Amino acid sequence: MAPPVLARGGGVLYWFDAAGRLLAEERLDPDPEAAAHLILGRFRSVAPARRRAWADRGGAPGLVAEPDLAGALGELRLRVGTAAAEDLRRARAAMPPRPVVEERRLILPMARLAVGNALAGPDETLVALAREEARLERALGREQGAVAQWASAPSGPLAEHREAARRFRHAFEQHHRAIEARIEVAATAHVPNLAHLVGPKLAARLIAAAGSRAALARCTGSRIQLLGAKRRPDPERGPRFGVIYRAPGLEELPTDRQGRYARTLAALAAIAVRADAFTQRDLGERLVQRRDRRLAELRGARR
Amino acid sequence: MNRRNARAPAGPPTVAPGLWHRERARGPEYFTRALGTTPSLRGEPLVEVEGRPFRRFEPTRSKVAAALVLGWDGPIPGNGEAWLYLGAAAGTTASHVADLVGATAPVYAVEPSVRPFLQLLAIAETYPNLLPILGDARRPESYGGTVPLVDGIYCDVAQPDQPEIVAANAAAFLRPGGRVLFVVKTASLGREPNAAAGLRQALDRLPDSLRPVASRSLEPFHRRHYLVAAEHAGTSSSVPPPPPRPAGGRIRPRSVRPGR
Repeated sequence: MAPPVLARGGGVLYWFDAAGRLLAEERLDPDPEAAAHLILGRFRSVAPARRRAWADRGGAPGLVAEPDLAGALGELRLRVGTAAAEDLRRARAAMPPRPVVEERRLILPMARLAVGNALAGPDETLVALAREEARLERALGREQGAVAQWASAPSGPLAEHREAARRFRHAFEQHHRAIEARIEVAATAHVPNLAHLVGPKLAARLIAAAGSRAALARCTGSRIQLLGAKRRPDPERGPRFGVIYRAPGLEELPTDRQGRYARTLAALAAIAVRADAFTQRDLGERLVQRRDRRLAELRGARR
Repeated sequence: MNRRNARAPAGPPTVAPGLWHRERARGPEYFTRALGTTPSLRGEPLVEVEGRPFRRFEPTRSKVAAALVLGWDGPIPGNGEAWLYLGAAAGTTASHVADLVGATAPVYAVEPSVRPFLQLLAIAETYPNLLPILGDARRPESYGGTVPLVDGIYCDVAQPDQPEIVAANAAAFLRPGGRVLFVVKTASLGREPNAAAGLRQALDRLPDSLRPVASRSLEPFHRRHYLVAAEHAGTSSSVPPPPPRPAGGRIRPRSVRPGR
């Protein structure tokens, strides 16, 4: 015999008996914003008395609910099980149809809240900063060329434009520096080992290329070496120059040793980001020592 | 309306409610009835059919449009049907599906990535029936309280476990007799060099309760893509849960990997 089910459909709670008949329904909150908050907070903001009333309303022992609801009710030590997929499907089939207008009133605030929460997370903050910084760096590079082409005299008829361009460039550079400072703080807090090893800017770019810290932590060293690579040196060979080629110290090496250093650094970065994501152990200094040892070896190495 | 809306008003032939087409020298063109308050979302051309704006269903952007242009004879989202759209991305095709089902039927559009979701949300704000959900299609239970039983599921996800994603969502949300439009991205399935063989493998991984009724290669619009239509074959009220994924054996030696 199937258990009685407490299930949510949109902003409404429904109670079904063991035979799948709808016993009662209750709107979670007439205000869609408040209902969205309540659902996204996994029902924790609901007063315990109200949650207890939900469970009591089920009536029979053996009541089951969807995972979020069962968790919230379980916090009050109420005997509510987690509904199996089949129970929930049965409940969905028995729910009365909901008008699109009603659905939209609840789902749009939920979507706005969910996206706001997701964008405020440390991963998305770092990704946004890294992308903006990369864009500014490219734009500043282009600006550099434009300034070199500016051919008016300081006191000629175009002097005011020259001054405006100088002010614009100054503001641009200030913005870039502010973003870099923000990346340093964010990366050091979110991926301390990786930021220590490869620098905060590169750490942020690696996370942006992978999508998130968790995704980067799942990458192998060889994959990290290629993250952000856009072109192949020639059609017969695969891509080669990922963002890790922008690591400090790499450019000092002769080109024939840069690949070896990139490989080492990517392998160390894989260890660093896994420590940041999983164990939260402080490995930064040990990894930096290994990095510097390899760098010294390569500087003195013969081909 | 955009500048190209100045075209002469057009009449039938209408293929289905919300879908209109015309023959052109370079092939057929399909249009869906624009329901949003901004009729042209991505600068697609508009035509006026019986006083209503219709926007072009671009075959290069949308797999259903590509299939229609290539002579698709399988089902498409119909007027009044509730659809669940997995992998909505920025919402281009999802908005056309919303056009096809009409303003009184919902399209639940699921997308896990935040940045495309922002664009999807912006479109949904202008649409009466496009309902965006920030969620992972691999975990249907995470949006189980939001999505009811639906008449159709459209799945366009570039993941190696596409068939299992379809199966899990069909088990949770597809009503008996409902339909699935499944975009098989063979390049995302694994390292099978032959697209047709990749399609066969994907179909083999669908549960028995989902019976394929039509399939079509989407070349040359979308490389190594197929559109497959399947119907819920069972008469019972449930679709059984998907079988576990085959373990291992999917990585091929370098010698048989496809050339790049």
